[in-house]
Amino acid sequence: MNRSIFGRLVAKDLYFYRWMLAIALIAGVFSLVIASFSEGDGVRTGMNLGMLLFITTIITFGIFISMAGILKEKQDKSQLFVLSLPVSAAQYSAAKVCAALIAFLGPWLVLTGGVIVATAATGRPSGGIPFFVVMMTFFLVTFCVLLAIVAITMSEVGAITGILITNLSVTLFFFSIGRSPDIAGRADEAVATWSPAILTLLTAEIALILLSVALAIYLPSRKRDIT
Amino acid sequence: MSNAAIEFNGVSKRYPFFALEDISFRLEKGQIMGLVGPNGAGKTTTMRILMGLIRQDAGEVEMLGRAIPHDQVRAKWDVGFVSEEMRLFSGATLAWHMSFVRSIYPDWDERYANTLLKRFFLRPEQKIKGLSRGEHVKALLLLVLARRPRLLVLDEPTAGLDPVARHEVIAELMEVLLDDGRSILFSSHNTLDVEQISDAITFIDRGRIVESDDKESFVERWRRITVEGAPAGQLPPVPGNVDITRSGHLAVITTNAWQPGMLAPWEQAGARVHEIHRMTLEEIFVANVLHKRKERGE
Repeated sequence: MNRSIFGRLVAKDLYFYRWMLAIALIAGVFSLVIASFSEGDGVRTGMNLGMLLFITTIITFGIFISMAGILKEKQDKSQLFVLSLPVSAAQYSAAKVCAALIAFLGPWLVLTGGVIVATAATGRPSGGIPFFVVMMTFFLVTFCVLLAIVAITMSEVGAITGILITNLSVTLFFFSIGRSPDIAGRADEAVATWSPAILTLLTAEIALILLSVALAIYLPSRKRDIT
Repeated sequence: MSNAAIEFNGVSKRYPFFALEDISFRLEKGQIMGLVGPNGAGKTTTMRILMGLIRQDAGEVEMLGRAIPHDQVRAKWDVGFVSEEMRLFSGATLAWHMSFVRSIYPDWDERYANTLLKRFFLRPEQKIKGLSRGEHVKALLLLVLARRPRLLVLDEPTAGLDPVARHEVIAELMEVLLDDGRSILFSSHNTLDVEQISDAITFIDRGRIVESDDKESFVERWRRITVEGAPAGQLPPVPGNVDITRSGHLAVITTNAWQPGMLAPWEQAGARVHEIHRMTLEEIFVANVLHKRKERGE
């Protein structure tokens, strides 16, 4: 694979994502700041509102990256321009998936890392950290699954189906882990506990991420016709 | 490895409601070929197979001596492709596109790019979404021509352009042709454009090649001859006779094998040649396509 062109294609996508990246970061940090005002009214309004905003930001950002980055280029025919350059369809698809992953991982790492570092630095109770990491990794899973569905189907119907599936899975996921004493039950503890249940869940999430990314790169490369 | 710029050999591609069948033609290096066909004839599918965007079901394709689609990446270094449907990134400027393409192609000719900017009256700082259709095509051509490719593949580049923009685009292409080493495959349903710049023509209709030959040969071979006073059925058979229409005692004969001496048998049979009409490319195209459809019983 020509690394130079591959890198330029990835850089090109990141350039087009730049405003989305900035907005996602600002909205993410803003919602986490709101979530940090969790005490005072007894019902944790700040925490609930902040987390709702945070989840909305992450999910919306993932949808934007998949739709705007991958599907839009096909719909507005600029894909033909890129494919006229010395790249194959397989290289093109791989570059799109890589750029989308990098774009999502940027704010994801900053927000996830920021919360962990801020918790450690301020000496707050860290019992919620494993739950937070599992939650953030799940958002990464939903993004990768959506990315794979969009990259493989390259259709609006596929994208909408993917959005429905991933959004439904978020509800189901929170419903299940919210009832788990090993995961959500320890969120209020003073010290983080990486229980076997948490580690198993994280392993399953990472496996799903790897599988989705592999399929997102491999299956489009097998297509006979790209336009 | 072939010496042709493009070679199609028995290429087929099937869709549920359309099939490209047994496409074979050859574009020599330094030659300009017009691929002419009505809408839906298979021009775009042919071009996309050539560019590796669609994989053929059967047959071989070579571009600049490289097998397509397997070796498309190496072939595309020397190929500029512009299609009617192709769009640049609407939110970016032309300057951004120039910088993007320049970063990929080491042979990017900055001076030529600037000349084209002036000639096409394009402003690099303008966003693509603000360009008219004609300006957009010119921007695409600029990005392709400034790379100095050995082969240009142009799929209906003048479609939807006003006459002035069309003239400017064709004029620029004609200038490109001054470089003898450069080859062009140019598809269009506008025979006037093709006639201006091509030196070889391939007619395509309903997914099949109708005929492929030099432009001069087409123009020299095809005539529409009006004869008078020849009773029906009494004209001697003529080679290359593709159509006869009668109106009263006049008969209009279309032939694709014109030779000055071929009229003698008709005159001996009592016919008087009224007019010998040198056909335009459009007339040749229509007559050729209709003749082939009739031959195939379509």
